[in-house]
Amino acid sequence: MKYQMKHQPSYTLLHLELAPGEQVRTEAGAMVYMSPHLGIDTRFGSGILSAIARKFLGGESLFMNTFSAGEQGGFIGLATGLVGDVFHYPLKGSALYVQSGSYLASSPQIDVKAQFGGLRMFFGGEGFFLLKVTGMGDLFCTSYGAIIPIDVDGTYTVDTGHIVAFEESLQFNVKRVGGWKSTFLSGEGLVCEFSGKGRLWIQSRVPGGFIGWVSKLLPR
Amino acid sequence: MNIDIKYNPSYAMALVQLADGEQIQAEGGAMMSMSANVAIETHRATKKGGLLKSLKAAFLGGESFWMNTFTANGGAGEVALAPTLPGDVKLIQCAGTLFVQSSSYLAGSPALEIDTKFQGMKGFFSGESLFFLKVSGSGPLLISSYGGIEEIQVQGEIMVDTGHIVGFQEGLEYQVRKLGGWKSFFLGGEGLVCHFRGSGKLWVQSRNIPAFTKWLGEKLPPKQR
Repeated sequence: MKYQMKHQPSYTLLHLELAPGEQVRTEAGAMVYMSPHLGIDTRFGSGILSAIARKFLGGESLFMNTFSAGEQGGFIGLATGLVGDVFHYPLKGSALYVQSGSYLASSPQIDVKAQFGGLRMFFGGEGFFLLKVTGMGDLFCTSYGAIIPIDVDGTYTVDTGHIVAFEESLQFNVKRVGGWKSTFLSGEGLVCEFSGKGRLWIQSRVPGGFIGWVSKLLPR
Repeated sequence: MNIDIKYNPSYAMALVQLADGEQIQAEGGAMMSMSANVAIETHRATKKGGLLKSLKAAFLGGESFWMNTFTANGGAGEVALAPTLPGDVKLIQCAGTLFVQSSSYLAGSPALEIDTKFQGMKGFFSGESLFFLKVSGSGPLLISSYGGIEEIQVQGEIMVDTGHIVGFQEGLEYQVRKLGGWKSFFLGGEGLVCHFRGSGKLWVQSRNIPAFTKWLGEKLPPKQR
């Protein structure tokens, strides 16, 4: 699967060239344009239970579309609704944890399952639910804002709303920042403390922050 | 006339340099700043065809009922124009006829003729307005988008999600249809697509407004009663 990204980082459009017989699985509604002979098949993402978990825990769509190229191959352009970037990750057997809203597309052999991030996630109010993505092939994730890769060696603290994805070699622990006073008054909410060695991707804006700002301005 | 586009693709604006006596026509509300010797005249969106056509453009096309024409008097002048949404602006040297998604018209030479073309009932069901302005003549045209503008030279066929179409040249035939079977149409989230055939340029935007408003609508707290 050949890929190209355009209009980065604000309005990234992912252009994929599919070889004859090649397939790509995408989040519902992500198709911008495509060659006319691609087949489309709509299914529950990675089985019905995982799809329901993705929908209700992760706020993702219940369904995913699989686009298949015929004998002559084809192309497809993909994007999400939000202002932001896309990054590519080649999966080679190990797992990547992806924040629920950040999944865009992957090779059909890749498995996407909802992962419960622990009880504390409920109190964070920032929708920090993770997808565990496993298998072999290409994975494309989206962000709200720019994507910043960070190589962690030791410990590193990230606001839960800013997490896009991280490698499974990293351990993580969701906690309050500072004392209770800081939790309620600092505006920082919950943070995720990563430890170990591995790569982490964060986004420069938080959807929850924007939603909070807009909802205060809208008439009631 | 010299047109310079700045701050694209996120917050694009067009800086239009007018020679003495030159004019630019822009969508109502698009003027950001202008030099003191530039005069503004407000008129209906479609100059030909009278009131009814302007009303059609305003209510079906989603375009402002009024347009402004800016004229440099007694020397050169400049007008800075900006669309409402964050996104891109593209300059097209129009020669012939092209169709522009109604909310994507930003500005153009007053020599260009603008007409509305009704695109069929299918647009209503999807909640995605499918109204195009028919722009013909020769002169500069400025189109705006939500997201980056991708120019595609179509040779043969391509399918485009209706919410992503910014404009296309007249040489392209098109048909609005659902993508795949009914299951994909209702559950796959792709809605309606436009199937283009022929040869010509096509402009698509890398984000679409219905997808953004749907996301926002789901996340916002319910209205208090």
